[in-house]
Amino acid sequence: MNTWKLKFATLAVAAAAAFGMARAENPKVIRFGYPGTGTGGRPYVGGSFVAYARAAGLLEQEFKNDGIKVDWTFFKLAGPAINEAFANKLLDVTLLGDQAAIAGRAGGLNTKIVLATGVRGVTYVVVPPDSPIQSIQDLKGKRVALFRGTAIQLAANRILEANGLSEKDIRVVNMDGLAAQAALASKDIDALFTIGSGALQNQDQGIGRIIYSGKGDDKVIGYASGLLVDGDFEKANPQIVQRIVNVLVKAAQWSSDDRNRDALLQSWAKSGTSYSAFKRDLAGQDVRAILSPVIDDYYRETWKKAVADVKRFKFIRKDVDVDQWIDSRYVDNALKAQGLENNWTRFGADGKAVRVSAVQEP
Amino acid sequence: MSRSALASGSSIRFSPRPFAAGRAPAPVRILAGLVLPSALLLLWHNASTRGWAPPQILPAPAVAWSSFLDLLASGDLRTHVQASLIRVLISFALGSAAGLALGLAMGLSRRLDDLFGAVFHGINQVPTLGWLPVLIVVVGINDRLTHILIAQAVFVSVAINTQRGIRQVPERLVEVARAYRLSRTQSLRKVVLPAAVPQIFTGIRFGLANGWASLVVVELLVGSEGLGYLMSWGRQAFQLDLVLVAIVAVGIIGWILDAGLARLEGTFTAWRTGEAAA
Repeated sequence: MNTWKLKFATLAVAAAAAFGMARAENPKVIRFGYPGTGTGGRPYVGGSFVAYARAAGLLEQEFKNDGIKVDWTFFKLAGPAINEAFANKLLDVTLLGDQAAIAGRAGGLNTKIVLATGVRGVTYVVVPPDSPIQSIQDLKGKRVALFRGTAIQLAANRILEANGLSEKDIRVVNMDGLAAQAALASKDIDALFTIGSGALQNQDQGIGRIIYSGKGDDKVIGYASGLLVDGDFEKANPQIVQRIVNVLVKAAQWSSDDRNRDALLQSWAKSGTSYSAFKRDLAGQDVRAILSPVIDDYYRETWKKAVADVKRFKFIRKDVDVDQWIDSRYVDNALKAQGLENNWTRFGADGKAVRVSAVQEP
Repeated sequence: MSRSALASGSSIRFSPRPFAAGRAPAPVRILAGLVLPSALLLLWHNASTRGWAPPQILPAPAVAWSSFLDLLASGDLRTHVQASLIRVLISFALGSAAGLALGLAMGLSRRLDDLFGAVFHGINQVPTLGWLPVLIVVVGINDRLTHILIAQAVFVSVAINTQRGIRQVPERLVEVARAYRLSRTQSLRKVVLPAAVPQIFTGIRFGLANGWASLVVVELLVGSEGLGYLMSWGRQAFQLDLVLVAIVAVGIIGWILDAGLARLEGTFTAWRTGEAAA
């Protein structure tokens, strides 16, 4: 081999290496999604430790020195719009509720669930204060708002089913959460299904009366949500994903600490829903359990049940393998590294505590 | 004296098929009609197989086809088509009856035309769906909203074209009727209405096409049945193949409805073509 050829080959290898390194380089921006917006479309939300991380700018701080921007998009049209954004490669990471996530996965989206962001989710049914409706059975034939294609639809179908009804027995009006609240105020609808604190806010505003709350309803399983990562993004940037999960686990630990409860609710109130509405939404719930980032057997089981129910209600036509989809490596790493393995109670598939949290409840 | 004697007395300028001569034989026409659909299908196929669009956003024709067969087998497609057709036919019947009545009145009476004409042509300028926000506030989101909106689309189009059709009956025809000393009812039945039929049918066909298209949009909002609902649900459920099946169904049914009306128009105006051939 002559020297020129050798030099040329060396150069080519070097160039390829440089190119390879460039490919492995960090992204310039992390595109982070969230289903729903704050009141009036403001870019803040409540109800999860991810919402707290957003309000406190924790991810922004983590990636500042690397020159990586965190670009938040709050999707008014929630899960269905997030699936479209994933399909069009416009999103890297997002929080997502069970039904939409399952629909996306069944539709062939390459995603991974890397972190639990909520389980045992509570659903409410709200009617105008002077409405004669007293129970789920009374909803028969009434105009009821629910947000199709989101976790609300699955929750609503489960609640209706537990009461011997189905979607066909009510007149469904498909509306997003904020639109449904406005329609309730103008009495264009007779009732709405909603998740989270909005129901309590409606009560405070005098436009709603809660006739059903999922708290303590043992017949109906609560909804789940998780942190979904785009499969290609995860493959190209595993360290970035690990750092995102690290930051969020830290946020979860801070959020679950009872001493920070007030500050947590204040940060959620940036969304426009009041501090007191969030407080009463959490009242009577195992707050540490619903703010746990841990992927345990109960979390997996909740998703498996969701897949089975979404299929039974005919919201998807293809099956989804939950075990292939949920990847707990990142969160397990983070818990280990931060010494938080015993910070949250782990639950078995039956929902009973397997390993009780080392943190004493006050 | 026969109708044809009257008709042949004038040169009819608006034969329904002015360029009917020189049409190719049927097989050639059918083949020619398939060129563009095949090209579109090929484009669609390429777009999804070569990844011009994500497969979740633009499923391949084969995927849409199997969804179509699924919907057909489960009876879901029938339910949705039936719901949409019933909605549009009720509204169409109401809208076209009212439109014919008002159109005739405005066509025959200058005074009524002076009274309603300006408002009417103004209303005609507003796209059907422009009424949607106002109607939602007034009647709420329900089936009545669909009926009113579609009936309105048909009504305006039929009324205006009926009025125009009657106004545009050639003066010569009216003179002939007068020369034969036909009564007002006789000349209306034997001269004016037959001459106005093509224009009236234009109104009816345009109204139905407009109504069918609007129906689908209203169904995006209202109810849990119908092709429009199927489209919106397909998007909510991230099953874009359902959206595509619904789009094709809307297109084909709209085309069949229009072809049906064209046939009906043909039977109403058969005497004209008969004349042209003679």
